Amino acid sequence: MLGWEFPPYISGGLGTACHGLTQALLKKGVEIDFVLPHAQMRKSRKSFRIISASSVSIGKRQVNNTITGLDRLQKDFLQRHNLSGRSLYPFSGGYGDGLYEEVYWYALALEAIARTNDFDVVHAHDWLTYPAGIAAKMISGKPLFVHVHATEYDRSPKINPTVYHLEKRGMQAANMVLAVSELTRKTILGRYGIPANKVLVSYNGVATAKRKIKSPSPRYLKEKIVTFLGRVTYQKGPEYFIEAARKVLNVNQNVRFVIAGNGDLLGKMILKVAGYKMLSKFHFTGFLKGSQVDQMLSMSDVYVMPSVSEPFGIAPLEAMKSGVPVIISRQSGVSEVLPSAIKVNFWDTDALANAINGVLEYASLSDEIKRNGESDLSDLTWSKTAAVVNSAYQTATKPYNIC
Amino acid sequence: MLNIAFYFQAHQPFRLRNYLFFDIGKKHNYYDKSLNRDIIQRVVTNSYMPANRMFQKLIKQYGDKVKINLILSGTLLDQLEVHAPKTIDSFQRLIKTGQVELLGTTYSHSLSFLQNEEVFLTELESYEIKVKELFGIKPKVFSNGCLTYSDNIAGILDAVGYLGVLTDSADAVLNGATINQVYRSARSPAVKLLFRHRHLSDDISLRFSNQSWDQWPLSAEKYMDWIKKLNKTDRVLNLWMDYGAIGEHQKEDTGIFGFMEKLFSNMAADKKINLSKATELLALRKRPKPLSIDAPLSCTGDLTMSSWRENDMQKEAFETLYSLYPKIAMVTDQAILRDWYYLQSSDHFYYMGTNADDQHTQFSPYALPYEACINYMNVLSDFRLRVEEYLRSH
Repeated sequence: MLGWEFPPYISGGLGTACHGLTQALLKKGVEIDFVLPHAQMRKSRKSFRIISASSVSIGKRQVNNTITGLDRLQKDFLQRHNLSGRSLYPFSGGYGDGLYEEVYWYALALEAIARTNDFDVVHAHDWLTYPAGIAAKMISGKPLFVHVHATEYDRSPKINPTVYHLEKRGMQAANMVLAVSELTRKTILGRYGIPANKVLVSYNGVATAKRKIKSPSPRYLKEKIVTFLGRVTYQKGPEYFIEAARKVLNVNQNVRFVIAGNGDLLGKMILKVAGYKMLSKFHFTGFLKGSQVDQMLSMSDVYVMPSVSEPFGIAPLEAMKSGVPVIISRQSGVSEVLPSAIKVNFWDTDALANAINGVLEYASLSDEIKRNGESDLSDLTWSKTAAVVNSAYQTATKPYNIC
Repeated sequence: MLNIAFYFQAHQPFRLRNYLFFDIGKKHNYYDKSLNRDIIQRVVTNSYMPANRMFQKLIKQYGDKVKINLILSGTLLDQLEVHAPKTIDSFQRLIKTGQVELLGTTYSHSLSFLQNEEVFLTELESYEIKVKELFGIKPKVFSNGCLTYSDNIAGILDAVGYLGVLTDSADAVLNGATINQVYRSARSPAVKLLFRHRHLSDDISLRFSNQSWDQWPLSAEKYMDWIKKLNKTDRVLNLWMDYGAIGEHQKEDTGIFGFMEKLFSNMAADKKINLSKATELLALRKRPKPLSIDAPLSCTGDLTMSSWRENDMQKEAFETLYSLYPKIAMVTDQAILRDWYYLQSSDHFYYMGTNADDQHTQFSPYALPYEACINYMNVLSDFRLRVEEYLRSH
């Protein structure tokens, strides 16, 4: 299994999802080698190993760059890079400036791994690992699964053609494409032209244990708290949160809004809030660590996810587990599996404001949503996800199935 | 005879610590103690102490031929008392010579005069108490932080006994008249107006070590020549700069100390130059011309309040702060009142500035203006809770 994030090397929902799926597959008897660009800890059980690409000795490239899609990168700048005699590439494992370069060397590391390791399926999470997945498939002849947690269409209004190309190559080369929601499946069919019979929906799960917050924060602020928790980027729709907040504040002053997260739109959003003269009703916490997320949720009266485009969206599930009622946009994959959550179109800030105010003001509504949320959650297990994935593995590895 | 007054402004705010949303209601310590201590100790070592020693020596050498003026904010004095008490002693010795005039200012280096004259007045009073206690004097000439001023405070200054005020020059106000003269306020005729000579001040404080400046390197002789070229009818030259220009902004290795020492020696020896204290200037003109200053002035690039009150973050933070005043007016708790002053320092708003022409980030403890805004508003939320809680229980 190839991925860019795995706890504790995590920066978003991808790591959480990889962890949940891996654990559930292990319980079903699947053995997994998880290859991260960079990891310090080495899990080494027979059934589960974490391999750090940083410690893999990279050999000569065998797989053609056109096949992996890496030819796009090479023309740009990859010719300038070489290992200058070393055999290890020092991956950062982050999402920084040298990302394409890391994607390239990660694929070469996978060639080396595929030459020396034994496995039955290659499972690649998101585009960063697709070229590596293709390379591993070519070397080993084993079936490739690409798992689409997000597409370029979810990330920004302006499509990066290189990323799009790598995504498309990965999906084309895959024996099976796993989509985290029906919404994402539609994007994969419509925008990437992948045949419908190759694309399977496998919803994310949620760790079943009810979230116990160790020391819930006492409430010092007398106002109710409405929380947006996520990256402050176009995809997450922070603007609509602010517009809705303005409408709520027009009728209800007994409320504060929190934007918890960081991102390229943060500065713009703060100026927007200041422009509406709402700074004393708004708080910006920056990026929150794990325990701070718990603390934030324990202080929240309602959680809002107004995403413009959200392939799945694990965060609201975490909020629900903490007993916080959630309002989510219809443009999120997670809305498909939460029949009883309040859903609005992200652009409809009237409806969003109305929903926020309703949940805050009518205790019965808030209780009802929490109760129904719990039952929605109990249906969403990683075990179910793993069953879907495992059965697809079984089909793909049957000897008569030649893809 | 040209009467030259040097004014050195020394101010340090209480910079805020990284105050989280989660701290609101829980933690009431707002300041970054170690950062503030480090900065105080650095500036004291690089600038205030060696500059004080230099002036002490010059005064010893030239007697009443050497005079300077100082502006020391209350927030600076509070921090010196804790982190560098010897510097207080040093300022005391300097002021005791009688050749150094201490000007009045706002306690926190604030812009309260823009928003609430009552707050402004209480700041003047608190500052007066502070300098009475430390230096045993009552200032006679006023200079607000960064030379900010507008006519709306002339009446208050008059009422509390100030005879004059130093502010920055503005062509629109002077309407062709020279800045090198004494004027009076059209609004409150008893209050005299002094204007800084921007160009000659900045030649030292901003440009001294700038090697791409066509006048670099600047020598005392060259500077004296420029002064000689001033109009013969000019009576007054006000040179105002941050005290940190000597040794901190212009580091010791630029030769700033040698330059200043030479410059003062030359001026002290020059029969046509009279180094002056601010109060001495006020009587120079028998019938000073009245001037109106309606729009607030400051020492910044565009002479306006734009460095502190331009973008929406700055405006709202500012207004939110002063909207607390009606409640504050009923508070007598010393800890709350102390924070009330410290949160008013104009620096907090300066850090939120987004105008690239200003040097907001250079002097800011924050990487981005947005961070300054978030942090300040969080602190203000807690402060408001404390004020409300106090009023409930008293």
